[in-house]
Amino acid sequence: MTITARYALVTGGSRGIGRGISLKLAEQGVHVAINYLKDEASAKSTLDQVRDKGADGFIVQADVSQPAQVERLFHRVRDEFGGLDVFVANARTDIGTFYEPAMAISLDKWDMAMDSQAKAFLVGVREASAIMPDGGRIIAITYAPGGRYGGWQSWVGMGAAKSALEVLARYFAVALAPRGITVNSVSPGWVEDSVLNALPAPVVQMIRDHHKNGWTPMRRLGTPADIGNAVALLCSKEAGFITGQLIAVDGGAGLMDPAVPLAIQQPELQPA
Amino acid sequence: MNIPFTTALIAGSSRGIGRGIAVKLATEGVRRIAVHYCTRRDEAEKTAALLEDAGAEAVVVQADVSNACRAEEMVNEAARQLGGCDIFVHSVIPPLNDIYEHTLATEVPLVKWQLAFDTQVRAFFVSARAAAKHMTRGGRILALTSNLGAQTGGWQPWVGMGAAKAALDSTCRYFAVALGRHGITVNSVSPGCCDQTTVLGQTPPEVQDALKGWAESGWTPMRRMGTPKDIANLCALLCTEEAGFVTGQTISVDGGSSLMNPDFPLPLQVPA
Repeated sequence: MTITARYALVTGGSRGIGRGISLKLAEQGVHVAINYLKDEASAKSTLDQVRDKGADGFIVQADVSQPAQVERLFHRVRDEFGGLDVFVANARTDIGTFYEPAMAISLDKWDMAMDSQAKAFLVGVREASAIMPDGGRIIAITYAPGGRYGGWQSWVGMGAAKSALEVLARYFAVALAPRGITVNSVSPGWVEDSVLNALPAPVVQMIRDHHKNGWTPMRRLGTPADIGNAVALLCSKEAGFITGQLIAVDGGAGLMDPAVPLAIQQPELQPA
Repeated sequence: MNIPFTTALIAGSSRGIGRGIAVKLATEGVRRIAVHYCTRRDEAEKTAALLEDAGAEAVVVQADVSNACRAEEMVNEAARQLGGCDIFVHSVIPPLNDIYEHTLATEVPLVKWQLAFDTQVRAFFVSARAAAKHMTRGGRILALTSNLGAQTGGWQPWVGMGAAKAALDSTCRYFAVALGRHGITVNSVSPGCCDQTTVLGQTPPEVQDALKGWAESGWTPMRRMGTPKDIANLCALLCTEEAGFVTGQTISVDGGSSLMNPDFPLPLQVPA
């Protein structure tokens, strides 16, 4: 696998999945601009780890739900790097800013979900394409089940926003294909060190058990490194003809059938 | 709403969902209906009696539709006895033991896989196009499918039916294009888990209880299993004049069970 990219921007790159992506790219020799919203200490720590891998970069504060700040973010990238080969739209607004059941969610929270995902990506991709050479890579981090299913009621805003994000990825894939720039979505399942950490401990335990018991066929939650690996694969030269695709990185969780109890789905768990 | 057709052949209507569809069409004024069965003549005659109670004329036809020649002969025989065939519904499922092996997908015997394909997609391929030749004033073709089985991989022993139903859905789309010019629509109807009067009744009592409990616990948002009536209602809707522009679609009638997200324990999805 060959990655010739030199410069990447990872929004929300300070922690969790964003950090996993930043470090994997750094391992491949890519310099990384690490965007963060509030947690400067984590961003600095990620940058230190990027440097430990032999790459370099910088940290940059910006609220991606604000178009003016997205523009400022890209101007800073242009000034520091002189261009951008990889744009990873990974930032997700804090759970408290959008998490509310379908029948109760306020318009403010709804807007925050949409602005931090779909609008941030709309503005971000246009800014990125202005400083991206031919053959660049744009990757949106989504959560596809949230958009496909209606089960997780409080995810309604983010589910709809992520669906919109995935659609944008397809439209931009068409728009940028003549320049050899690919645009894809990567969909993690449940990941350690992610939104999971924002939940109460008993809930986290329930979710972990749920997946280790077989709702994830690979019997573990994902890790930021799993997602970083998938992003790196899409950044490789060999992935140059893959565009507009949505790729799940979930250990098979998305293959399970919600209409059937687990023991009936997986015979080795309960012999007939 | 009005069903503008007078003749129907329901393949697999001796019992369960197929019987429910036949009775519903009779109730809605389809005058002559053919009841197809493979082994249970006694049950087919019960269905015929129910149709007569509902004011329709019934004929009974026998065939093992996994045999393509027999499938085609059966359709032609039914059409001859009915004086046409405006509606064809494929609702066949072999006895569960003949297609189901409670084991991992990698261990399911080829003979069971083959029977699933032969009775689902191969039988439909032969009989639907034979039936279409008798649809002289437009018509309706419906296939019973299993959406989740076709799109997920969780329920391991279902590998044969899952793959066969996916192929069946695909065939519906191709036939929909082929027959659109004649005013014949082709759609697939996807029930969720249905009650013990359907194929579920052939499973051990503890499996029936587990599936029922699963649906009622909230994994089916409407908190109950489907009934043949639920499925028959959708089939009747698709046979109306008003549905004449709906074609090539797979429509779920599952009380919302396919909306649930298998990534989450149930209490986290829908707050009490």
